[in-house]
Amino acid sequence: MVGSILSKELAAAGYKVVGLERGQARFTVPEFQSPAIHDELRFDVRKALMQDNTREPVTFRNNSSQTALPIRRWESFLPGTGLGGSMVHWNGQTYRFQGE
Amino acid sequence: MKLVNTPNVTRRSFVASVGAATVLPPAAALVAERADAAPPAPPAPHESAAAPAEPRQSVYLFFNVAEARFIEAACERLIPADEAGAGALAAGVPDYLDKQLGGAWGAGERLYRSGPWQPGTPSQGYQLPFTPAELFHTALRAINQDFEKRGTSFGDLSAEAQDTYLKSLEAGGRDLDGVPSPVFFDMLLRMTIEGFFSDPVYGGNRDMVAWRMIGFPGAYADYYEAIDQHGVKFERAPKSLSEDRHGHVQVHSEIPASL
Repeated sequence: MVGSILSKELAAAGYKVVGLERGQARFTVPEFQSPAIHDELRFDVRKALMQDNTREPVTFRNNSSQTALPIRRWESFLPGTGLGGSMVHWNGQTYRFQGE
Repeated sequence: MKLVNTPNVTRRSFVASVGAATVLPPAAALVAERADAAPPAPPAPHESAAAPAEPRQSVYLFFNVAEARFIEAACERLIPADEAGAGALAAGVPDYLDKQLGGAWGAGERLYRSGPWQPGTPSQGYQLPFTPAELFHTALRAINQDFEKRGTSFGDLSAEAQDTYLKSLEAGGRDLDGVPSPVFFDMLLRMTIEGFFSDPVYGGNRDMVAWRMIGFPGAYADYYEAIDQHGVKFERAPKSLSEDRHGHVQVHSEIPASL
């Protein structure tokens, strides 16, 4: 989200801007079409738009006196993946209006 | 309508099934047991949240008989049927649990399962080696063995005694063959809520009873014709994301792990 705003401002100021994003390409149509996208269990609870933590795990600790342990399931820290960045995956709950 | 008491028909679902056929007084129910009796009236359409779901016998692939009895009784205590609407049992929550635990999610999909293994702080989240399926089988075996020793079962307790037992699991201090009881209780409660309120495509929230109860519209693509109507109560029936063109919900229990 921040990247697109920065890119727009830099481009308006005359800079040439290249944006790099990781993950697969996903677009409003067909990936985010209704009704399959209206699925809170799949996207909000099971985090289907987030990085696969079994392939790219992250360890975590609150301070340096603790032992860092793997985050075995995403809960509060949610690294997303895929084209569109956090505009897309910030909860997967934004309704995208597509006629039936 | 023959009322046969099979092991999978619990007292609650039996009562619910009799309650659903509200057009039949007890005498008529007795007559209906005769082979030459007229077929029973079709169940009334679900017009309000208070209408009980159609009775249906569950078939469990993940839970064994003793496990299913505990799960059915426990889910119904966590979300009991009351004047607000159907409970977990009528909504098919045990079916949701059975499908999820018996599928990819239960086998540990998107659960990081390599070391290091050690107890973490509460903020470091789940750190046990069990998959959800292993956790449920392990905890349920310990619970059912405990009741067997006492010569009873969870399903035979009164509702108050069941609540007391569930609260003791939640409070902790009890080890269920390696599963701390609050971890099991937390997962059971979370999955009960998921099954009750999630889209019926995953096997729970049958007939969208939970959505009707709270007035949640579900998976409508747009509200184009309603958007200019101010001060009007939105009363459209909820919509599942898996309705076919005839309005039937097609159950598909495996949740794709990514988009």
